Amino acid sequence: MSLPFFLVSARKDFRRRLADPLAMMSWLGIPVVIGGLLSLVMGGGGGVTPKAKLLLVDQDDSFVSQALASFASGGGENSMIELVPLEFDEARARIDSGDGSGLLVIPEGFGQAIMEDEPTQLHLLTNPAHRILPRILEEGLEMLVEATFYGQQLLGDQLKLMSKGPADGDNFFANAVIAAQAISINDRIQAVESTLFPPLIDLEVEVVTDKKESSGQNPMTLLFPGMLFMTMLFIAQGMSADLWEEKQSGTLRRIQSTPQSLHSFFLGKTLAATAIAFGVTGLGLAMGVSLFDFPLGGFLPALLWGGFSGGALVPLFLWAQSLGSTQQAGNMMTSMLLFPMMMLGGSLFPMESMPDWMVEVGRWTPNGMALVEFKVLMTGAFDGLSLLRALLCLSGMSCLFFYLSVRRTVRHLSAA
Amino acid sequence: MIKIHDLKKTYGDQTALKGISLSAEGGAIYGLLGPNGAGKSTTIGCLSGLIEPTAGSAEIAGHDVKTDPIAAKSVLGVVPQELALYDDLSAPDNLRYWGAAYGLRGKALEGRVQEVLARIELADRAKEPVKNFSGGMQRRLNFGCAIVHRPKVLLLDEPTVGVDPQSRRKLLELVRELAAEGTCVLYTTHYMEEAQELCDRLAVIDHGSLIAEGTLEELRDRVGGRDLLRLRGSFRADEVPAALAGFEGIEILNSDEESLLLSMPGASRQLPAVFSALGDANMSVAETTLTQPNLESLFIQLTGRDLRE
Ligand SMILES: Nc1ncnc2c1ncn2[C@@H]1O[C@H](COP(=O)(O)OP(=O)(O)OP(=O)(O)O)[C@@H](O)[C@H]1O
Ligand SMILES: [Mg+2]
Repeated sequence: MSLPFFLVSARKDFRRRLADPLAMMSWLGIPVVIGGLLSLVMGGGGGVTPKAKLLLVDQDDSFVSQALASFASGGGENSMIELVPLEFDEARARIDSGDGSGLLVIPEGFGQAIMEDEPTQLHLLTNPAHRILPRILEEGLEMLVEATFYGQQLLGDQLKLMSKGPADGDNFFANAVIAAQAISINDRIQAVESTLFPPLIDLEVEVVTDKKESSGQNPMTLLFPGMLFMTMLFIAQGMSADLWEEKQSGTLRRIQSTPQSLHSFFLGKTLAATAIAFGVTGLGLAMGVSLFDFPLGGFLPALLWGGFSGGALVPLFLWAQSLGSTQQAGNMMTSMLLFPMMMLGGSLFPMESMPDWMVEVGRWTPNGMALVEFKVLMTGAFDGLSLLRALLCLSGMSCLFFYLSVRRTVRHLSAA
Repeated sequence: MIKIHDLKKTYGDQTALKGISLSAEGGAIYGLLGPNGAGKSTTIGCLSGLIEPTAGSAEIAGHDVKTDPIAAKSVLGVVPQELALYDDLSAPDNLRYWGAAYGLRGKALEGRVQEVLARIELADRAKEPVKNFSGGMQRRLNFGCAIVHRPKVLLLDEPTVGVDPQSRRKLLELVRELAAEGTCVLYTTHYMEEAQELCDRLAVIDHGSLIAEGTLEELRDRVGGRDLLRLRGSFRADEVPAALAGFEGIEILNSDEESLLLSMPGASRQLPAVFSALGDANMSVAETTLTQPNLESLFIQLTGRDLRE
């Protein structure tokens, strides 16, 4: 009848989360906002792929600007963003006439400025006639600008070396050079944490004209799984960040002086997050059933699966946190996991609107795999074999990273 | 109840503990006294399983901390030097959690939580999150969390640092009560007065070595009737021994251009003679401090340094 300690620990972590409702709201809020925006974009048509046309004027034409452009387009014909390279005058004329969601100008000297760590600016003109698409462009570029800046801050020297190309006469970088780069990249990450804010690159956004609006109805069935799993990723990341709080408050060390193992302690965190994942899934599904005609038969299986797979993501993030030697490094590690997983796993844009190659990769990400099964279950259908496969994969991954994260934390603590 | 044998800990080429042995019994307060960086926290860390010793062994109530860590930890309570609390939870929730970590559940746990809460005088603040507490109250709770399970052995790492006089008195009183109930207490501090006031037995450590050990009386006897004489002025270190050679039982603990640290019996009577001997050698004294034997002077005698330096 006596409660095992991991449950006591889970209850403790659950209570602590409840004591911070604002953080919980943000886990829910961001996906809901993004989902809301997307549902507006997608309007009435079921399965229509929204596409933003980005006119690009590359006045810089450097290694960096090309990289930025190819990043922005996300690659492939099916990308959400269609990139149209143009000269400035023509581009300006086209955006003024309402052709294109936005116009991005990469000024001359941009690449140089990035390399030299100097302030620089990107210019984005958006077309309000397209209402939502420009906002996606803006958000996406904002993220990209930050990523570029942070990438430069962290890895500027390495980038410089890479952009110069291999030493004369060689076709490849020597292994030793690459190894040395890997080490210095690692060192940089630890060294520059304090100097990362604020970014030196500025994204200047200008609105061109103001015309009409579009409207539509709610394709929630398509968007809900992505929103839900975005929330799951936020929950997992948020719960994993708690590791640093426990470290700073001394409670992680204190638990080590008790007869309890760190395994129960970490399991407690994972279970607390699982409980929250169940709550969120249940809430979402209940709204789906009552407001958006989700089939009632899918409620229970989808709830079970959602809660389970949400919890299964936690150890992965605990592990990523444990890789960092400081809080910032740890958080950066989880962000480096979070964003690609979100993009690839169909949590930011629905898989239906992703290019085929991306879907192929994405369905093997933990959240992507979970999402694919969730969609099936949600509609009241059932594919036993595929579900079993996903169940085994997720459990296996979860156990592996659980074990690794405990091991790393123990080592980290005994070294400190 | 605590037995430490030749405990060593090195960090790379840094040696934190150079081989410490000591043993402490139940019902008594054993003081571990030493300046910053002496190795006090390292010793506590090795006993509580947070730090793996490089060599040597330690036992808690008969359980070896290395081969039988769970049994050793079960009877141990640790009050860490830094606070270790959940400040978004209430005081009873904190006590409950740490009590549960030692295996208490249900009524037994609840009873102890209320008892400890009353003992650390926080019962009237039971509903608030700990982050609203004052520093002294948090220290008291930090202490309380270590005793919910009635440990046989209690380790305290400088529990009174930065604590207001009122909370400090309360804490010392609690420690005495626990010892009186039979708990074996290991208490580290760098406050002389606290060690003299509280501890039945004492070990003085410095730079990872144990430099003196015994009851307060034994340690006082070691200093003997010797006083400490601290002089400031202008001196020539190489000529000092010759100038003071005529004094019976004098010991030069430390000397440089501006200061001189001497240990000698009956220093107050000999003061004028010391001055004139130094004057004859063309050295001048500007300031004099005379300290009678106590733990502090013992430490200075043993190391030539001030405990607070
Ligand atoms: N993780 C570590 N790596 C390297 N050296 C360490 C580490 N932890 C402690 N030390 C060194 O070991 C020695 C003993 O440290 P310890 O913390 O035990 O001292 P202390 O007596 O508790 O001091 P204080 O009164 O300041 O708390 C110090 O010289 C310290 O620098
Ligand atoms: Mg210490």
